[in-house]
Amino acid sequence: MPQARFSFTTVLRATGCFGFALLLGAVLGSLLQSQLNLSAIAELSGPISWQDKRGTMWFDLQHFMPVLAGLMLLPLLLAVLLAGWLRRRQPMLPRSLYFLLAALGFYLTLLLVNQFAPMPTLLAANRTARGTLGLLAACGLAGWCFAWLNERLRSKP
Amino acid sequence: MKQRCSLGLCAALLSVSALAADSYQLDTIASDLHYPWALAPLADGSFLVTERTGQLKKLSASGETLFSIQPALPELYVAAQGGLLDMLLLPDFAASGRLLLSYSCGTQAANSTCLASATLRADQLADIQPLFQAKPLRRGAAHYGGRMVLLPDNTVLLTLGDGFDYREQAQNKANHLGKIVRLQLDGAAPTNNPFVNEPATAPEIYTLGHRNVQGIVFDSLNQQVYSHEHGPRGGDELNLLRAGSNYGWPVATQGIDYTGARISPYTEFSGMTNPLYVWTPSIAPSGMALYQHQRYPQWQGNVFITALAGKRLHRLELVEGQVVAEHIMLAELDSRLRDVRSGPDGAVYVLTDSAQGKLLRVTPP
Repeated sequence: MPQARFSFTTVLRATGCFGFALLLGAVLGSLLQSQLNLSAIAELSGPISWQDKRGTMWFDLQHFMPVLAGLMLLPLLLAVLLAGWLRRRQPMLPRSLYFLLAALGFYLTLLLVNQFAPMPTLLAANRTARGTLGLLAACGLAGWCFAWLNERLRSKP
Repeated sequence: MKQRCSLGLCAALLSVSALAADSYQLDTIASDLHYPWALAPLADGSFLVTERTGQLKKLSASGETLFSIQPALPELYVAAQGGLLDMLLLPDFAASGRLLLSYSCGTQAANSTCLASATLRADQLADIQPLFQAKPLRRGAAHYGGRMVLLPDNTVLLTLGDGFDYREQAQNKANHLGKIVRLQLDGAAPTNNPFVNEPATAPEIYTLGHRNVQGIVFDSLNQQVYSHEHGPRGGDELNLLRAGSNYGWPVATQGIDYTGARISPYTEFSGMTNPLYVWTPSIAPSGMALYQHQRYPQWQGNVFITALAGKRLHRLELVEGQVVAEHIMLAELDSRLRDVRSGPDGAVYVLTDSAQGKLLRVTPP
């Protein structure tokens, strides 16, 4: 009997990997947002104490990271599903495909969100090219991390 | 030097009573206004109303539309928060029909807040002359400020916004983003503006460090100017304006970004002026009136503030420049409130903000 392609174990493992990858992407994005905001304020105020920096990063992880995770959820999910499907058809495709599709998906999400949000740019980091690339890299790394983790766990006996 | 919370101030803040609901009488004057933005009650009981979508209307005392015109304002840009904004009737308006109009101008990719003068003759607006355009131009249709008040020396304070995406520019004295500017009636910068002699500084600047100021009044009894401004998520502020002062945005703020991110680690900062009063969560203050009419002494000296997100009319009692009580009105309407003015009859008039905007008359019971 051929083994079912999507067993319960497969789905459970993939879900766990996805959750971890999403968390990683959101944490990285949140830390990036904190650094950009702190850097912009430091240019106006002078040096910011480590205590204030740490407080801001922790605050953002508590309050901004869940919002970012919500924004990353759908593009990351679609990206890993599409990349997985493409790699099953073309096994020579590199794992970096996950990175590219996740970053592209999040870029399209940002365009869509900014189109419908009442403000010109919802995420402050998205106001500059540097910040936007950083956010895309965070989501891209989440996609790559999912693939790496999922493949690594799958190959374990 | 940052103004710290003195014992007196702390005592005043602590003594602010819990939000108290007011009793009042409410009448609807008109209910067919399209996103009305500013109101000017006239001496004969009629009203001028601007609509953000570009119309200037005159209503009779009973609310009938006497005329509705679309002024040919240069480069008027109507989108999102932008469009025709405030109007300021000049002291000789009754004889000359002269007024100032603020509005957003430009295109989606490059726009700003503009100021023009015009003359209202019968039911036409003539002699429209552009006076001022805030620089630089910016992308997106948000945070224009746009409120005006006339000072006793016949100069005008025009409030501006930071353009949302450009918040750090509120601290940059080289431009108008996030500033309140003081102008002569011909649009020029008065020679006694606070930064007029500083190199690389916009000479029109009166105060800086603002986010989006949509309420300003001059207290003629105490010779003081009050303004309020939208904070981000939390941190809406009532400020006592002093020429040359820095009101902190975005370095010192009690609000956070809409996404939950912390904009700045500081709620106050050396060299920046603290607000007199803060609303967290935000009420989104949009209009402001100082009541100085003799008819209802219980409101004498009170500041009325309309709230968009808060959907209430706030009546603040001030003693020696400090807020000692806050009263809530019109909560039962559940309507976004755009502007408030006191009329020549002593009543308070309020505009609601919607496609079927209303003009309301509020009086004590």
